Amino acid sequence: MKAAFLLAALAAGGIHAAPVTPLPFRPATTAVPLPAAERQHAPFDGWAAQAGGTRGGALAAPAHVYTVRDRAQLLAALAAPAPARIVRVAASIDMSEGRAFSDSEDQARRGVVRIPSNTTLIGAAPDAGFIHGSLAVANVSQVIIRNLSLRNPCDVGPRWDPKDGPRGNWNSLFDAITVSGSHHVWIDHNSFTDAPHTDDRQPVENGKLKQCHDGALDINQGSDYVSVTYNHFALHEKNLLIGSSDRAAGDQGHLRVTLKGNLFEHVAERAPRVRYGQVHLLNNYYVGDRKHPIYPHGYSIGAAHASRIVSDANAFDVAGATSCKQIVRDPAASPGVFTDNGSILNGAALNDCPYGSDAGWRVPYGYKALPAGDVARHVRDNAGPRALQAGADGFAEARFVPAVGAPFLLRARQEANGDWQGASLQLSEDRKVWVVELLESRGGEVKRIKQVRRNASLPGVPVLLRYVAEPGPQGNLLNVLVDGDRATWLVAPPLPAVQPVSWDPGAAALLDLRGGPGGVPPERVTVHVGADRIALQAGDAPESVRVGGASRLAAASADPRIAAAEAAGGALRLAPHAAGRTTVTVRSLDDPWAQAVFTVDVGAPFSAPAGTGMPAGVVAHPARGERGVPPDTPLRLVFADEAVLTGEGSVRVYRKRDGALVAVVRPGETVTALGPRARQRLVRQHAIKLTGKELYVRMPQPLERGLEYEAVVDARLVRAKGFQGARWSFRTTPYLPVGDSVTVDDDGRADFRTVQGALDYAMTLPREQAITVNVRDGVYPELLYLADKDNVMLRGQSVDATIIRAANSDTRNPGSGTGQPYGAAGVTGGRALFLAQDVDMLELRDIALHNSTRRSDGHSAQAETIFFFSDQGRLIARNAHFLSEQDTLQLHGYAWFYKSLIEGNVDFVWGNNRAALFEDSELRTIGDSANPQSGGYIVQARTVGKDEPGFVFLRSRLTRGPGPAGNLPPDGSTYFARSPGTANTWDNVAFIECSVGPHIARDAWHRKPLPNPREGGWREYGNKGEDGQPRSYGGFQLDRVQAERLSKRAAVFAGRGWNPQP
Amino acid sequence: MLGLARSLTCCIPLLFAFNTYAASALPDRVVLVGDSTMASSTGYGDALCARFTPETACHNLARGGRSSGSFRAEKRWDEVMDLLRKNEGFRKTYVLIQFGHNDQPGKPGRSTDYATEFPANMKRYVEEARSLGGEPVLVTPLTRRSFKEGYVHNDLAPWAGTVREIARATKTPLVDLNALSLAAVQAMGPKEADKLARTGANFDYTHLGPLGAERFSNIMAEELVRQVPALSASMRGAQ
Repeated sequence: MKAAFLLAALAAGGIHAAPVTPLPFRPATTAVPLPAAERQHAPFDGWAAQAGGTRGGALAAPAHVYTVRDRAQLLAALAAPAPARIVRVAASIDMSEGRAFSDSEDQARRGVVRIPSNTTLIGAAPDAGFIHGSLAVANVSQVIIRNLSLRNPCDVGPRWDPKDGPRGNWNSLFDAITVSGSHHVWIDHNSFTDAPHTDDRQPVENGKLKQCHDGALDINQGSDYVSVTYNHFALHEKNLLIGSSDRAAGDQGHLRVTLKGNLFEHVAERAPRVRYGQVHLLNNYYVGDRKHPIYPHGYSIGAAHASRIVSDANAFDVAGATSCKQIVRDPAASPGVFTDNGSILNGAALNDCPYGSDAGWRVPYGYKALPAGDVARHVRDNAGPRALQAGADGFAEARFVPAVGAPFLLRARQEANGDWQGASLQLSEDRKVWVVELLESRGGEVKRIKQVRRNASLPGVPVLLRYVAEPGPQGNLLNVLVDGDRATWLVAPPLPAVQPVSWDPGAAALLDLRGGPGGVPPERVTVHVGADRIALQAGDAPESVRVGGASRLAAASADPRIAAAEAAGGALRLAPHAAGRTTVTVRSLDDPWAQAVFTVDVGAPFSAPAGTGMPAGVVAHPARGERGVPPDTPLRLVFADEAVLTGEGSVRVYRKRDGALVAVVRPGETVTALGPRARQRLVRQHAIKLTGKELYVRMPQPLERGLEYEAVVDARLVRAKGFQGARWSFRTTPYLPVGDSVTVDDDGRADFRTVQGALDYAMTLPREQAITVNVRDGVYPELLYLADKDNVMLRGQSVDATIIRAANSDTRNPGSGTGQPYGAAGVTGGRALFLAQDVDMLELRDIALHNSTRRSDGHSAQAETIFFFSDQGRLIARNAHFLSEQDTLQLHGYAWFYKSLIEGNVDFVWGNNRAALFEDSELRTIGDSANPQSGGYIVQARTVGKDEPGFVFLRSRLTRGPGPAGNLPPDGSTYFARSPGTANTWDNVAFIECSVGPHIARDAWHRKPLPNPREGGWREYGNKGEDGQPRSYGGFQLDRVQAERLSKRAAVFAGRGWNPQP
Repeated sequence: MLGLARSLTCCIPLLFAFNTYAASALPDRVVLVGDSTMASSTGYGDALCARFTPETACHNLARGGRSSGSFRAEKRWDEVMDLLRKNEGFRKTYVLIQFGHNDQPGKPGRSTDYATEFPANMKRYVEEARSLGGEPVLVTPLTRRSFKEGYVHNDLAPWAGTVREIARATKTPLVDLNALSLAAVQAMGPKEADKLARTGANFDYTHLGPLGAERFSNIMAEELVRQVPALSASMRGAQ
């Protein structure tokens, strides 16, 4: 529902706005539970979010969340000593308590409620609000008033002012809300009305209506940073005054107010009337009638003394109005400025408005304006108080500085009975890793449902921990996000959120809290540096670093003398000035919580060796003077002795023709983009590696063909005997590959030096066009990406010696992985060695994929060799070898493994697949390097359809072998499968006529949690133990006919109409 | 040979006039057309390409499983002709053509009639290459390496014979790889010959692993410059 609304709003077209980030256009409250709503901060697209933002009482401890139903409780809640408070108003409170005010003084004494700083006042029941009340937000800051039904108070003693106008007039005190001398105030989703005491009930005296109402909402006396959003103002005369007097010159430069999404319905005037203020009117909707019997429309917007009003796409439906001059007026004789963009009056463009000129200021925040034609419906659907539903989606987010010790615990959704769902984050002892958990507590017992590890950011930098319930493709998702990145999730129903959000700070220092609706991704800033560090060299030209996510950025360097930082055009420019270390903070201008902080190490200037030096005993690839070099060549130096990387210096490549510097490659972790710009796989990896005696330098982009290049290695880069840097030249091949077959070799004549180079080439071909990538024997230290390209065969020279090997894991690159458009937030390339996304008929043949992450590395050790991420795609592996310790194969769609070897320990064949057939293959459980007693699980099936075959092992061998630490899995320690315990995927696994080694447990199906379905999904037929005797391993025994159906390729892949042949 | 010499004399002045980069000569181009024994990963073609200088373009368009008939039927020959039509930047384009393995009977969709189709197909490749200014070179099929009673069983002899005959008739340079490889394999014996195969599950007596590719590309290269001396300048180590 919400997603559909959002898309409709974005797709509506004709969006006109200031230069903006694409902020989701939605009101701040759409079906959200109270505990999330009451900690919401003022939205980014309003003045209240500027200069630190408006959080009201969002930081209130649970003990300072009060529920009030009458005047006494209200006053007690407001008077209680609390650094921050949330007041839930759960009734319509008559501030007169049924005793009529005796006079205006009595009314002031009993009817006026003063709201202290750091307060959120929120309606928590239908019709919650105030009668005969007047909320005074006076000389305070941080106040949020939401979701209340307010009756504009009626002054019991209006005063006659003979000087008001030519014939005098009646004046009254008491607004429903007065904001005076206050800053950072957010007034949201309230209703204001005179009804039932409408003005026709008042007498006429001295020839004038004895008006007992003052303003509905007045903002004056230097108030600042105020957002007024999605309120419903109805049946009132003088509605919204911003600036009370021409003489209040102190208002100059203040009264910065945003009005967005408000409904003004039969409001006679002042909607608003502005003096001095810089007021932004965005997508408000006005309904009026020049001949209304009680509240005839006089004007809507008063552009009074020194006002500077910017109006964006407001809609006016005012019966009888024909001209903008009836909408916009200066009620006195000192008009300000009113400048409009895209508003409509009675369906036609609002033309010929008075007072139009440059407002002299620019809206400082990003925003999207709906087209004015869509405003009426949008505002009608959203303005005014709403029901806050305990079961609705929503998030709670804490911002804190972690420290070693007890974890920070966030109870985001808590039921009345105390059960809760939430998350925790703990900094590891070595300060390198955050342990993030998804938690649930039932009946006082806390369950750790998921646990992941994430690399910690720099010490002292705040982290954001968000728990959010929102709809997902497979049902309700409970997500835990860390700094805006989804760290882990669960498909499960959210608990009703009733009790206030609560937390245990543990060792952490809590800075702030907030809540809000689910379904909207948080603003994020992703700076493309690995491991929160970039190493530059003094004297270099400014370096441009990609930034993903937010596009309106501010950058600041802690010490600009070392390195200056500047954000421009969605990128970051770092100018290294002097050797030293500093930190740079890049912040979103729209969400101050969204930031990235990293270290900049400026080292000594680049030191290139003179002449064309290649030190004795060092062998370079490409060789000095080599010609015909493939343009994707890495640079490799093989030293005579052991060498070490120092972490300093760099490698540079110059184009010989004009001396242009075409690449600077630096040591340390960096963010690498694989694949075409439309959809790239971003991964953190080391572009420079030193393994033993060999230095391997991955180029950031391919070189041009047919040109000469000079490579220069800084003397500082490597510590090796006698090494003083290197400088040599080579020439790239002028020739493009021809035909449907290309070659990859790490040396010698070939089209490409890297497998990814060949895949990049394949992705330039038409999707259908078949191509074979012939990879010659060698070890290729690469992560791979193939997307949106069918019919690719990756063919090694021999399965034993053509090896793609690299370490990647859930800690280094969290998540299964997906490509992302250029400029998107996050580094989402994931933990697999090879990510194959939306491809069909990918074949891996005579080749080995080895993810060398160990379970004993102390990381989140999920580390696929391949994630075949193609729901309708087909994968073939033929005489191929896949090796990792955990999660070796993650499969979606359809896959046929023929005469292949798959090694792993924990869940090493898994995924949300349809049908995978392992035929004449070997499933080798290897010894667990972290827990030698554990034999792991071969399969974790998450088959997406109840009737899909899932994972079928046919005439295959289940064997064991040594793991990376050399140990074998013990006898009887390995299970065929364990279940993910999810209700919406199926545990469909069959072992048919397999030979089963002694490492497999007697009862080989691990029934905790129970599988889905309980019975019949875990199937066996005709398997034999080591002794050659038929054996059952405790699963559902298929009969011959059933087994036959899973023993033919055409039958297993019937859902895809596929019958692959050897 | 005469034709070649004439074309050289005709082209050299042009080449000097229009190419400012390499005053000495435009590079040659070599295109390999054949079956799996020549193709990447399973044959000697890539290793042969590696014997040419980096300036010499070498495109291995040989593909596993193809016969003289199916190579054309799959429009792979069209790709060769497209290359020949775009010859600018090259002195000459040599098209090395080797079929026979999959022309043998018993391969549905690929086998050709020995008496009629095979010679016609091979001849047509030669003629079409020539008509587009290319220099065809015929190659007799690489021997298999299965021994019978101490001798290599040369089941490809008839096809090799046909190719020799066409070369003679069309005055096309010929690399008699069948004879040369047969002699080499016979001389090394079965044990040594087995080392030329692919490893593991891919072992057989037809296809080539790295060592086989090395050995046979060596034989190919030596004989190629003997039969087509003009190519010697394009060979590595020749300058």
